[in-house]
Amino acid sequence: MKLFTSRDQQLPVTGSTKKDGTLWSLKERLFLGLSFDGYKQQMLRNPVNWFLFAILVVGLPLLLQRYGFGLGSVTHGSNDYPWGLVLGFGLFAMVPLSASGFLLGTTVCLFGRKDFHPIERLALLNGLLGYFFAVIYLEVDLGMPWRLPYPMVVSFGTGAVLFLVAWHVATYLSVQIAEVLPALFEWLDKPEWTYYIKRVTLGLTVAGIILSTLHQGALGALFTYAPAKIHPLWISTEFQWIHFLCSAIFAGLAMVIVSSTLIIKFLHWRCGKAFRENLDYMTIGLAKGASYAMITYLVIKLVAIAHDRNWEYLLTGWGLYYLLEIGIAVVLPMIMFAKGARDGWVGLIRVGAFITVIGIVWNRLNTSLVCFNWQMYQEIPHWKEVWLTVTLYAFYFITYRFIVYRLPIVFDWKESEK
Amino acid sequence: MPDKITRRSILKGGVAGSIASLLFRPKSSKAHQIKAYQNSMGVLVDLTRCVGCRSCEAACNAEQNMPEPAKPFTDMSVFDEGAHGHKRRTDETTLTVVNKYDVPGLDHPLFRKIQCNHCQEPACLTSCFVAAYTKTPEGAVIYNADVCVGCRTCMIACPFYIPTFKYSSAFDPKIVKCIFCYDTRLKYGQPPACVEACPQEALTFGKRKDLLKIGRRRIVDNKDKYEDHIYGEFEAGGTSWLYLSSVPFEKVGFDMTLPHQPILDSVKNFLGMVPMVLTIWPALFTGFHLLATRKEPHAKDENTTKQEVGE
Amino acid sequence: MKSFGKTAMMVLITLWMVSSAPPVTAMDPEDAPESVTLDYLEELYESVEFDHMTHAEMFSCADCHHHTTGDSATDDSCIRCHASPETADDVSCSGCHEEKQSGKARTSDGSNNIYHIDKPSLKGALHLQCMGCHQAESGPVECLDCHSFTAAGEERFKIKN
Repeated sequence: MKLFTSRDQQLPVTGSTKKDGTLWSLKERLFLGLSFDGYKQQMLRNPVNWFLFAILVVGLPLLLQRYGFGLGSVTHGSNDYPWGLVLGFGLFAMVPLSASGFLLGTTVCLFGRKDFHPIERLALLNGLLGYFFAVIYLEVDLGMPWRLPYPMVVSFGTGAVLFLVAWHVATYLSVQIAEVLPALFEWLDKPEWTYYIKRVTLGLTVAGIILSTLHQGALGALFTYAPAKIHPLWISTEFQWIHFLCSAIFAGLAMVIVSSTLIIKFLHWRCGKAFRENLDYMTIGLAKGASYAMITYLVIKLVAIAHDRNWEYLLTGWGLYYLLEIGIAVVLPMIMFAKGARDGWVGLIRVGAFITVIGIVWNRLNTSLVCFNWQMYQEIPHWKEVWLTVTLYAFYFITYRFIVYRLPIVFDWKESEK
Repeated sequence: MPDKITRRSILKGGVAGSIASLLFRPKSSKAHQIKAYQNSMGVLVDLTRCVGCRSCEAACNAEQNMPEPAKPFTDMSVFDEGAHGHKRRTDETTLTVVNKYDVPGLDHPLFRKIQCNHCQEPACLTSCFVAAYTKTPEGAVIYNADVCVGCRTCMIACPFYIPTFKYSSAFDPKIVKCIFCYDTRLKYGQPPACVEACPQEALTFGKRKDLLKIGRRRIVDNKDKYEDHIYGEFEAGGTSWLYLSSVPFEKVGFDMTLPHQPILDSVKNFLGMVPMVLTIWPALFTGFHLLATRKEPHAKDENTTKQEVGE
Repeated sequence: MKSFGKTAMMVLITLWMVSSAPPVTAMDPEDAPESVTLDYLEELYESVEFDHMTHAEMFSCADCHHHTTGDSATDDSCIRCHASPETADDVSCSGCHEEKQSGKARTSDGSNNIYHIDKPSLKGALHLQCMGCHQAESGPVECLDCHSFTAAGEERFKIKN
């Protein structure tokens, strides 16, 4: 795409009209202003697409197998580990990594930090897609995916934590759709449609904070249903929800840094002026926020150990593993963030953000798989389950890229600029 | 200036919050409503009596129309079959399983039957977000496959690793677990099939409160024969199935680390916090918004400021 | 209604009857029946011929029976009520141990039978007695050492031929 944008002055599409004043047609907008052949060419040239293709070639038949022959045909169907990799990654890791939406929404809209405006939409999109795909992962893992709406319309287990998760994720998904819709409306040349959404932005943001606080915490609280199954260092019945909520804060921020880094590096042609020029500054700001969340997280982790009197576990093999996780996934990137933010080393921050994102996935998988049934045996996921998880992530990636390519996420739509 | 603060925009924030709190209010208040039925039935399992004949497994299989097992119920080689270095457990084809334990210092093996313990406050029930589980007054914890979504949280929550999932089915999967023969027997006051089949009367059916008396009586009357503990009296908030053993319970596969409170208690920290967030957050964050955004847009336009103050 | 039908089918064990007149002296082993037919489990198992004589020669009566005719019970708990020999007339197992397992523990049924809250049924009493001794004395302990399946029993235990 870089090649095309350097060749053709009109590209990329950044507004409703071409240079000569005629409107981009919807088809042209979809094809990024390229001809069909040109579009095909840029698709085939991109090595990432071949990689994605390789994943899908195996992954799609696996998906069919799952729906045709049941979960047992693509997983170990373990009764001891009812939640496998699909949920451990797809729900428990994707959701905290998608906290970005409410965090940046809060920063920009609620605290009036307009300086973060150029990255707000990316954060909102990151949040929306993360949640949406968490639901997709759920749809693969649920025994009866066709009954997804049951907790909303058929039968209410109101006292259950998962009931709260279901309602909040569903509600929050709608909130996030509303928050991202303005980008779609601008792209469709219907900026006036955003009027009603803009009017309730603050309401949406506050609703987003409430819903996020509760369901990020609720995902942690889900594990308090298994207080005797998870290693004591990874479960604290009192503090689990705070641990999950707090780690979701830096997870979401780190995810936006990672996402924006990939975009500025590989989709530079797509980035608008404001995004390009302010990204380093915003990255430092996000890193600052993340490092504060991380130190808070470390403190409450410590409080949990002290409160539950788990000190002696720290000296066991599990304890070392725990310290390793805390060290690599939290302390190391925290120092990188702090150092990078103080000295303006954006590169260091970006590496730290990658580590943080991996670290959060690691933590959630530790809680849901590795340290679950710690006194039993280790469940190694079936290769098909691993591949399926990767396949769904590939879908996530493709959707993410599809939208960033087209909608005014990291650039301003010409007609909407003031 | 979409972010200009007006009374209306504050209201909007508050309204969104109030709607949210109205919408979700019942959640936390309803959490602890399961009553321990006074006259619920139970079964007392005496490990000293069980000889591992697997008659209970055979009776269960017949009563509940479970699939034919790979080996007949007279085949005792299954005792060595457990996976992952662990004893056999329930799965989608078996609702109850007898396991053999060679206890050091004992000249004969001990056998332990596992099945749903039918908790007083079942974790499967309290964790189910579509209310697929019911604790009946008779004591059974039964399951409604018609509303189950297949999320398997009950399997996570069950401290005894009892509910299993029919992973083999793509179109009609469900949770498979012992239901105390509720539909066919318990409802009519009869003991479950396994109890009736037990030749050794290792299983005694009766009101839970009476079984506790019987259990204590056996412990007192047979000095040094039993551990001075009835497993299930308090574990996980108490179970309808109770166990007596002649050796420390952890030596025959019982989890002695289980809390004595219902599993739900460990979730309450979170549930108790929910209404607070719902009620406090909207005002708190709208307030933050006021504090954080007051100065700049107003400084440059005096008219607006006056107008706003005047409002 | 599916009731205790199964158990209802189980015909009561045919045991010997002692005369209604209270015997003055204890019974000798020779007076006891040679064999007892246990057929109350005949739904799944063929009836079992219990060789009473052989057991009576090898062990004393009190090794198995709580009391013998003419003697009062020896168990402390029993003596409280059953001190007189009259109550010990019936030495048959089925005289006290009912064929049906009680569905409900007895303290709750309104009676004052507080000492009988944990009395095994006939099936339980016989198995506990036999198995306990067979285990200790290295007698046969496998189910099929004493029992043989009926067709229904083979079906129940999923025995494939």
